[in-house]
Amino acid sequence: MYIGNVILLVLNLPLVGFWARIALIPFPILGPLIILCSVIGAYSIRFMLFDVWVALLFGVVGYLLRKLHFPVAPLVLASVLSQMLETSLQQSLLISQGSWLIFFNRPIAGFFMALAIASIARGIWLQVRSHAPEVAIDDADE
Amino acid sequence: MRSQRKCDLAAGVFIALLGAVVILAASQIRGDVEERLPPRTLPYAVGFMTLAGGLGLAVKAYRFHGEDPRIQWPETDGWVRIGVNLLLLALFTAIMDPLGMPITTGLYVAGAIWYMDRKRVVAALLAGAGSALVVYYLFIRLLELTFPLGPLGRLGETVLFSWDLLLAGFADALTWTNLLWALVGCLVGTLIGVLPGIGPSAGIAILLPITTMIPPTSGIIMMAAIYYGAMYGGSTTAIVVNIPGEASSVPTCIDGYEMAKQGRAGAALGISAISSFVAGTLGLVGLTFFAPLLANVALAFGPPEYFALMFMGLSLVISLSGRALLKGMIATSIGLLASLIGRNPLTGAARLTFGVVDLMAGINFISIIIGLFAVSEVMINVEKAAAHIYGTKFHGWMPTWAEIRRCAGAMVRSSGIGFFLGLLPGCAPAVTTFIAYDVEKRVSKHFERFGKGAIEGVAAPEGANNATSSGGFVPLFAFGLPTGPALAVLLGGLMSTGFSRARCSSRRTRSSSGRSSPACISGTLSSWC
Repeated sequence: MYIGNVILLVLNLPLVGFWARIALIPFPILGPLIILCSVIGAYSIRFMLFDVWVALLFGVVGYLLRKLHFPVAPLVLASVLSQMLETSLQQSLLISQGSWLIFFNRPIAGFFMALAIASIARGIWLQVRSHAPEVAIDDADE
Repeated sequence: MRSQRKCDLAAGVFIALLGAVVILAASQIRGDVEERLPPRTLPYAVGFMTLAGGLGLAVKAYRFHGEDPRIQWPETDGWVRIGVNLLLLALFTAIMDPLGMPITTGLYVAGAIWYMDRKRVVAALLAGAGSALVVYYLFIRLLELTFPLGPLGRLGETVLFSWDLLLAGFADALTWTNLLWALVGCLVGTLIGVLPGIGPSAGIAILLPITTMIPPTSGIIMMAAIYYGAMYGGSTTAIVVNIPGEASSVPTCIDGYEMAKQGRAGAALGISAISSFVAGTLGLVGLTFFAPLLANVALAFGPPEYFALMFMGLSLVISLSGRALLKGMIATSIGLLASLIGRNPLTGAARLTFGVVDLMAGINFISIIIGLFAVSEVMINVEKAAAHIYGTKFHGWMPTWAEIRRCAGAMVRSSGIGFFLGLLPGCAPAVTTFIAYDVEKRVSKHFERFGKGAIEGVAAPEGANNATSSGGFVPLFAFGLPTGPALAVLLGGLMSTGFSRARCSSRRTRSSSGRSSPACISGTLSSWC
């Protein structure tokens, strides 16, 4: 493992220039290549054209979200975690026989839940105090 | 519709309607009342969350009176360009089945380049032919992915066979030293990782047949090299063209792409390599010293702890959106909504599929990521008819010493976060990189720089990503328990090269008897080589 780590550093530090130069390719050529990579990537997940159509749809959704200054990161994380989140929620409720208190009376889980609620509460507090319009500051665009 | 207020109003109403539709659809889900979590509960919850978020946004926009930021919608020709490009892409997907992948690829690439820049006829033709060849050789012949071939299928068998023999000859000539294999692994891994959607796990799985053809030691080293290479490749595209290879490099996009736009792509790539290296080293040190102790902690994590951890990850990311809390919440509920479609993971009952067969299998999050980042990035650039992704000239290929020193804290912190969270089976690297980014933003004295090209914002997720995989080796060597899909594939590869599972399980008895197990140490030692 460690050899791989070292080689990657040795190999990639000199190659940094090469990778960065990708961005110098004129966009009319780079754009279709990006789309090509995306289509290959989307298709090779399950070898279903359906996944390519989904990527296309979410391309439009992503464009609108970015134009309207929605943050995109929460959407990604939610879609990645959703399945695991639901499974562990159902398992937890099986263990506790339906009681939601299980997330608060176990020390580690309780700690995480407290942090989560605190961060949301802080967000709402900041929200109430400021009257600025909803513009994501972390937007990668612009 | 140029005012942010009106757009927010419209978006809010639309999203609220979407929520209402979901609630209606959820009420149609049939299910057992006896279950602990009735199947309707989650769709209802997400539907109400969407509805509330949309209404909140609409009400807030309605009541807002003040300075109203403008939204930069494209001009008419911008819309036309976006439309034509989308149409081309749709056409590409539609004719892929009858005509076969290579031919469609060539046509699409040539056509799209020609449409965007009429003067580049030669470049368009060359790029079209080149990409068709790459698709054919790399993906269909070498990696044996089952793309539709179309009429090429039979032709290729006869004409191109001799070429393959020549290529095989080259491959034979290259089997000399392990270092060489590692080099190859890194390079191929990076190339594979550059494709969005093919992350480390898919990369190793695709290349696994190649690693079993060579001597075991070289095979293991090459597999590790592919693993790291694929992870690095994912961050490369995240930085240079704002396309994360997988979910865990999404936080890298935020500051990495911003740095690239300022002409500092080289520095961002450099710090990403250095930070990965430092975190990998620290992680392996941690693995050597703490492995026996930590393995037991990881076992104390049950479903409630996982739920709480992931819930915390989500809340942190929502609160990361700063002033746009409602929009962060709406984005979250859209993400949850998309992955609710399909089957209930425990009972297998279909929900929210509206009778469409394709929706039964669910929506894969990788295609969501590809669409959100890659496709929308192209649309943004198409709209402006941009000649380059970003106009600035490059300066500074390498990060300066001052910058590396500034990142030292971030590297150590993210290594710690990544390593400890990496111990937990099922904890995706996506969670740890998001958490590491969030922590770094909160710790930093200059948090306002984050999102505008802060170099620490690149170092933190990159370090965490690598440390997570080091942490994942603890349960892998201690219990033979892989913590994620990538490690599971790696374990499969290791076992096929003689790293037996029996040795793993003998370790389990020793370490549970409380002694600092020598087998566990030998496992870690082998990870160093």
